[in-house]
Amino acid sequence: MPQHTLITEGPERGISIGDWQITVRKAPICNAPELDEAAKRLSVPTPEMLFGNNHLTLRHKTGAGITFKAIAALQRVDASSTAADGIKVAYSDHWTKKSAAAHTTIKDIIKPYDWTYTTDYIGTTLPSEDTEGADPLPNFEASNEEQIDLAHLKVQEPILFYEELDLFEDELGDNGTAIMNARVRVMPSCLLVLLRFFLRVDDVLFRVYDTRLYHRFGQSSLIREVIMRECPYLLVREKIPKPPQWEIHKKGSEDLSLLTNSNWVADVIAKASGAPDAATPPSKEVIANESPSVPVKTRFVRERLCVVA
Amino acid sequence: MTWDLDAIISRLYTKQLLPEHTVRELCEKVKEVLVREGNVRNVSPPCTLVGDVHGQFYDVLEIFRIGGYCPDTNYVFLGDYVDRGYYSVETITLLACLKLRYPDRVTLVRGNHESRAVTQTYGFYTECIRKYGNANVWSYFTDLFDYLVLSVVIQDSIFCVHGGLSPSLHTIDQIKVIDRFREIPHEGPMADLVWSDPVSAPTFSSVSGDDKGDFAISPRGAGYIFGREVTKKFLEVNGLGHICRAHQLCMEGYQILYDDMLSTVWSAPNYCYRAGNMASVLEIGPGLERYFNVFGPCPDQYRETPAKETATAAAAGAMGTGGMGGVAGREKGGSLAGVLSRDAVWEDGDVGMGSQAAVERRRKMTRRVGGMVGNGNGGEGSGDGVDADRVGAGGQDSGVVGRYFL
Repeated sequence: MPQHTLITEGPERGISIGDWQITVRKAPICNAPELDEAAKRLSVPTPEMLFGNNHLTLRHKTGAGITFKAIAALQRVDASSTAADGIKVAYSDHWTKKSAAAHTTIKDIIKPYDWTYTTDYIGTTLPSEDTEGADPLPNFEASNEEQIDLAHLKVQEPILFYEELDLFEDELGDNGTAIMNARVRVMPSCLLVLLRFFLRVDDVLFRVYDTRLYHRFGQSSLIREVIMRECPYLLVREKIPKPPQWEIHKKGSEDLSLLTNSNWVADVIAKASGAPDAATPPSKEVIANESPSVPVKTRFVRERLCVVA
Repeated sequence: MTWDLDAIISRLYTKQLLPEHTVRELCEKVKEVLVREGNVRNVSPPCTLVGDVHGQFYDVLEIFRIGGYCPDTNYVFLGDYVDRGYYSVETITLLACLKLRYPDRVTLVRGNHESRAVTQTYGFYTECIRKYGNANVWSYFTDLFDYLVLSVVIQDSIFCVHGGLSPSLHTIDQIKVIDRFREIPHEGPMADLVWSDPVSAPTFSSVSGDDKGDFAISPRGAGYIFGREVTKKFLEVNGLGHICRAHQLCMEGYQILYDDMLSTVWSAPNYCYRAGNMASVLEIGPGLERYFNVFGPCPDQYRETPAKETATAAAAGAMGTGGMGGVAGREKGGSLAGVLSRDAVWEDGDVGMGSQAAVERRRKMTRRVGGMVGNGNGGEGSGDGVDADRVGAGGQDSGVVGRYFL
């Protein structure tokens, strides 16, 4: 088992283990001046909760590594002129029709952006400080040689360090939720990071974009698996356990709060796509099959970053 | 049955629940008061405006500690009493009782969360089921919500509303004729009042090419945002000086826009137990001077975590004093003990969680997720309880949870 030390440095917490240092910073949401600064760096409006000072960083002793930050994630949100064409809230048509009278006097249209804050952010790689090395900017490369060892992760080793943090969240004007958060756990034999973008647009759709980083101590690479899934809202809603028989006749007998639980939703979507749980990569058939009979859209990428030559 | 409202209120301050039938009666009585109020209620200064509180009961108590208790302070609550926090039921029960007891000193404005549709997803419905075992209390309260007023005007000068302005409402008189006794619709002036947002410079200057501040349609495909021009015009047309609204989280607890023509007041500190933000109430003086009284989360010594409360309630129940969980209960325990024993209206504090088995279950839940609570600002306990409820609610269905996530 590699040596480890817990780190507490001001607002940062972390662990130093073997050749790795994992640090987390958890701070309040941005204040007004920080939001002004963030707005300058973003081409979309800042989300309701922007944890711009938070980060999760993994660094190898060579300096190579990866960090997860909100601003970088939001810089990948679509702000093109067609961005807002994709998804509208469920009652948009109804609203547009009914509000037409009022619209006639309204000339301003806000510049479109992807108001769902959907981002394909999978982390920011950090350059190696080791100038002797051939490549100062390490990059993940597609590789199927190694994969995340889920069986090993299911063995309940003692957790030396655990942390979870939010990067941003927006409630989409109470039409759903867009949230990006990260979790990390470090065990004596390995570490696992899960960066998740979770989107629910009520009565429209769900998206769960999971980025997992896995490293087995003593091995040379950091493995990254990205699973992006999207499915219609109803598909998940139908899976909510039905209320007991004697409650069904009552007004409003459906409890929808499970839909706010990203763990539950992620597993439901994974199962609907044929995978046993959210962490299991989809099979090749599932990715290849784009037929409308499979309601879950899936994308999968497996990469590795060699930290030791 | 005659009601000893003062006794009820003092017990609600200790975070106890009313029996289901009492809630039904309470809601009926409050409706009788509200039905007589117009859509636009006139309020005289001095008064204190409170923004979103979202079921953060301990922080509501903190507001009373900071801003004064009813009826010493004249309160205008700007909506969003329920959802997201752990104590929506306790919060709305207390506010409804205060409204009934001091109808002229408490004003309850409707927020977008005072709605059947929204509360079904965002927590209030689930909380009612969990605490009462059925949805009756939820339907009593959501029926009551249909009666809440839409806006307030303070001494012909300050217009107060939950969300913002509407392109179909140019004058206060137009608000007065809305048929408000209904569920909040998806569109139209009533929806706009509780939903719309002002464009704040940091949020939109980089996006909107045109910042003169007319109404604009949200990129979501429904709802409006409005700016400086709209605000100025509304104030001029109606001879007003300022608009105060809630509805939007801000780190500082308040935000002032458009050269002080409009302000946002936000009263849920450390929103969702993790945002780490400050909160405020807006105190309006006799001469209409405005002061944002800023506060942070209620100190830990004034709150208990849900698990501890349940345990305390059960222990108190075993001693024959009824459920008396909560720190406020301890503070005022002496004087309240008498009320507790003589008042048959009251049942056990936490109706759904009274049994020893339930207590045990809650303890386990808390232990299991113990490692993952905490938040951006000060870690465990600085929120209105711990994350046990949230995580426990659905996490148990997803196999590997908590620290052993996959």
